[in-house]
Amino acid sequence: MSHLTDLIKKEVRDLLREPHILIFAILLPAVMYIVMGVVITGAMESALEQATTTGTKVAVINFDKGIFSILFIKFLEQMPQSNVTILNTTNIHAALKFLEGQNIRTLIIIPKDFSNNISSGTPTYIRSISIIKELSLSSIMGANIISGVIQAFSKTLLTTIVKEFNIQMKPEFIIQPIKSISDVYIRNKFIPSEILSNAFGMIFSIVFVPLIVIGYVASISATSMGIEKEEKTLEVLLTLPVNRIEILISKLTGSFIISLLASVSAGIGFWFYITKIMSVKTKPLISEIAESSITSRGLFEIVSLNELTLIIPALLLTILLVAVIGFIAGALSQNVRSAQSIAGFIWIPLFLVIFPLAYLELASLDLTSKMIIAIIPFSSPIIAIKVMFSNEYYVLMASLLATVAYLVILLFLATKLLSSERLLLGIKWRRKF
Amino acid sequence: MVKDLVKYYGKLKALDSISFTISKGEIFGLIGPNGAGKTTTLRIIATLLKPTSGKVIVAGYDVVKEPDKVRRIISYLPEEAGAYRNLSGQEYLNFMARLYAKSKKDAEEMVEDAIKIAGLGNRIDDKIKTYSKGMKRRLLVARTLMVKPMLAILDEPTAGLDVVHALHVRKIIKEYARKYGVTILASSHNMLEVEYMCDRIALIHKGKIIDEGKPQELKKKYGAQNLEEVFEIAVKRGSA
Repeated sequence: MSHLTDLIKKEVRDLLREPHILIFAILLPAVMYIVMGVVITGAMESALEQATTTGTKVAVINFDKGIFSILFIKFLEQMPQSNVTILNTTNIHAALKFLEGQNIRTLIIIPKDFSNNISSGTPTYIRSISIIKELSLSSIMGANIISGVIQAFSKTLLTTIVKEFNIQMKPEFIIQPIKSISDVYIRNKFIPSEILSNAFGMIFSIVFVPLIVIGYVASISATSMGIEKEEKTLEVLLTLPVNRIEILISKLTGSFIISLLASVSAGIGFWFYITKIMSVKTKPLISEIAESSITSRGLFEIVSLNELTLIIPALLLTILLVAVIGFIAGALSQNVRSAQSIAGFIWIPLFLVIFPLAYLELASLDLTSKMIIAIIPFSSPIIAIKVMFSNEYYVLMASLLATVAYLVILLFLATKLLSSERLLLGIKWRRKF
Repeated sequence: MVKDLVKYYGKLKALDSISFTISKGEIFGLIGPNGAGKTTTLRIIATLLKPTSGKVIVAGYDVVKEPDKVRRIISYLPEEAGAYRNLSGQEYLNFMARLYAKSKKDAEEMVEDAIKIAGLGNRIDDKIKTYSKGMKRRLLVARTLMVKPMLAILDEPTAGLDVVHALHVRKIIKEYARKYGVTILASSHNMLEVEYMCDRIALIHKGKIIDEGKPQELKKKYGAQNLEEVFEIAVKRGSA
């Protein structure tokens, strides 16, 4: 193994200087997430701004003229940045046609007997019509804003009535007499269900970002063999005084180092993306509409950092497995393009395994089913997440052992392939007629 | 020593019982047209392909049974060889030298030699992807010879070189073989090149050796002006 360092250095240097690897595997993931963060945040902020402006710019047709409709219009006028236009028409279609020409997107219709109904304690309504020119985030938010405003007026009105009539009940009670508090019991702890879903989302993000990188690993690994063939360096490489195992290890280590760099790059980009999205400031009025659900709150209330590190061996072994498959794909093909095409198919089984497993409740299965799932290739990262909650570490252990077994088999095949003439002559796919 | 070498690609018989022996320090040429079986023979000797039957022994080592030992004493230059395009010429030579050298000093000497053989001047520090075909070939010839192998296997060593550089490379190969006692097995379809460079040649046609000997002796034997005529007459006699 005396030449291994030289071979690895050559491999990493050669791969890193390959423009498409540098751009697509290392720079692009970071740039992609950063750009996504900036663009999505910008779009959200702009949508919120636009929704606030258009949502509070309203026209009103008042069929009622009573005290409560006047109070409601006053309530509307007190909203920040509000602009209320009172229409004298009773024809809703004509009013909407008129508003289309103006920059007013919301028409509020206060029905006849609105005040009478409230005075007599009969439920009533306010109708709002949002004019939407196209389906966009700001138009949906704008439509929601006015509903929020009507709800806010309803609550204010109720509070006033409760005080005025000296009713010995809290307004919140009248609005919602029974509130649902939904907790989950996990690992001897009570956790609010929304925190659990946040934590779950966060853990899946931790796994899915490296999984995206795994796609690059297959490609890089296949490319490193494809380049040797395309650039006609393979023949010389195979006659050098180094053994085949050294060549295999150097190729895999090279791909592994590049994929780690790609993971770090994607990780930095993803971290930027999350923090940027979370930094979007919502206005109090519409906070309930635009609130981001992405948060790491609650993650460490359920699992410890040590438990989270279980994902690392599962991911590393999966990355290595994919690298070996990529290497074999590259070795069997004649050039970079065909190597990458074959490597591209590795995504399919990977995602076919990971997505269904994400929905499956592993803990409720019997032992045989658990073991069958554990030995499915690429299943260990997702199993690592699941056993973190269920404490069934033996399932993960079985999955890791299965991955190691696949690795040993594939490494053996790869070494055989390196010693075979097939590597040089390639596989000729012949169609038989 | 090559004995009764046979190689099939599927149903195609590429080599049909080829035998020849090369002495230490000799420059031996394998001559024949494209598709005659030259590259297949060289690839088997270089441990890249396995013979269907027959035996190849290099300095006492069997290429099939002891390929690792054979690789330590040979240096192979394929006809369509490439070099790592993202490395500079210097980096490429350093990398190759480290794989063969016993010490750092050895490696440095090898690279110094190679730089002289390649004659690339300051361009040796440029990336290989900026080299012309001829420059790349000179670098590869230098890489093959710098390690002073027991057997250098050169498949069309001057392929892609212009007249001046081809002459330079032939001269270097001859000098190197004499100076360091390197045995050279070269293939070529350029008869002039072979006549200038080789001590002995074997004529190969459709996977068979049709004759073997020193260029002068062969010319005399066939009453020919040059090796091209020798080849032509030998092929006619063989098929008659």
